[in-house]
Amino acid sequence: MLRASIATTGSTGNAAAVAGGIDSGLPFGHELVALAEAAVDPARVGLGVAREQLRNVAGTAVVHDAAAVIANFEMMTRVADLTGAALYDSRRDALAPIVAASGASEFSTLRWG
Amino acid sequence: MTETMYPSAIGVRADLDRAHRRVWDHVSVVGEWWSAAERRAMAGVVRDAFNDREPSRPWSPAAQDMLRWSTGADILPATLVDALYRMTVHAHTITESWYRQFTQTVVDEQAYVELCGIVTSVVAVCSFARTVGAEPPPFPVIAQAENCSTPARVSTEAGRSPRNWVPVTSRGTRAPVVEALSISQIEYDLLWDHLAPAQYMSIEQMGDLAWTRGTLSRAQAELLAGRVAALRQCFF
Repeated sequence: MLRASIATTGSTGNAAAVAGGIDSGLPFGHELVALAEAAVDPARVGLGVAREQLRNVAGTAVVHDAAAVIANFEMMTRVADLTGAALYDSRRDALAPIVAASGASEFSTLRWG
Repeated sequence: MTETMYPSAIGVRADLDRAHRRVWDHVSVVGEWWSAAERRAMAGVVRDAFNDREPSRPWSPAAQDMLRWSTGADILPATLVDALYRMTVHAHTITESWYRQFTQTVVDEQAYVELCGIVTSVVAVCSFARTVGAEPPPFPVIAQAENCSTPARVSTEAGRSPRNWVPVTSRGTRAPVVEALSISQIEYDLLWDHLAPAQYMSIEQMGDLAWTRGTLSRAQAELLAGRVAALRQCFF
């Protein structure tokens, strides 16, 4: 979806950033990724700092909406994992570049059906 | 639903506040397969498991510890508490063989899907609260009428899809992750009518790759979504 949204909206960005360690090229991309990484860490290392850094550059409304997206994908990844939701086998070729770029080929939960 | 979920000083969007308040109310009423007391107890275990700063290892039994410190967990079987912990903290380690064994020996498949709805919705609330630095309020007191109600436990006619372990009611017509909770109408509705639209976007809005809420661009939202999914080792 990131790759498609970049193409659709004409923005510049690097979809491979979802794998970590790569600059997305998007506005506040560094701060958004830092918030996501701290939010999923059970020890919450750096979460307060990441939250304030994003707030300083983008404002409270962006922090809240970023937290909401993070919450949604904490939810959706569990929906997929707990119910065994797989990807359509017919889309395997089309998704191959995204699977490779995101590092998902290494995930034990990657399922096709 | 009259109280707000978060203190007004935090300034959470009203629709998001309402959606999260709905989760807290939702787990405090009788479900399709579980009583209000059981749902409330399971929600408490999920909340406490998600907030565990030093999680136990994926395949080590957590129930014994959890029973000591999670409010209400003592009314649930230890195997269920252990499963709830694992589903909350180590979801990516759940396998089809574990699912098959669990639904043959511990709970019915429909009861399992309702369980999944409780886990995933409570996780969403706890994740948001943690990220913005807020504390979710206590769960509501279960109303007397709910305490006296028993779940109907009516089997729903469902099909099997090669793309879901769980039975689904709308085989092949939507994405597998969308169909995942379809056998539990109450959990499906909570997720797709309330949580997803408030936290991310509705199914209809997902089809418009230029849609935004006005704060994050679509690409920024997808960066967050993709990074969380990668960290959770999940691609769907």
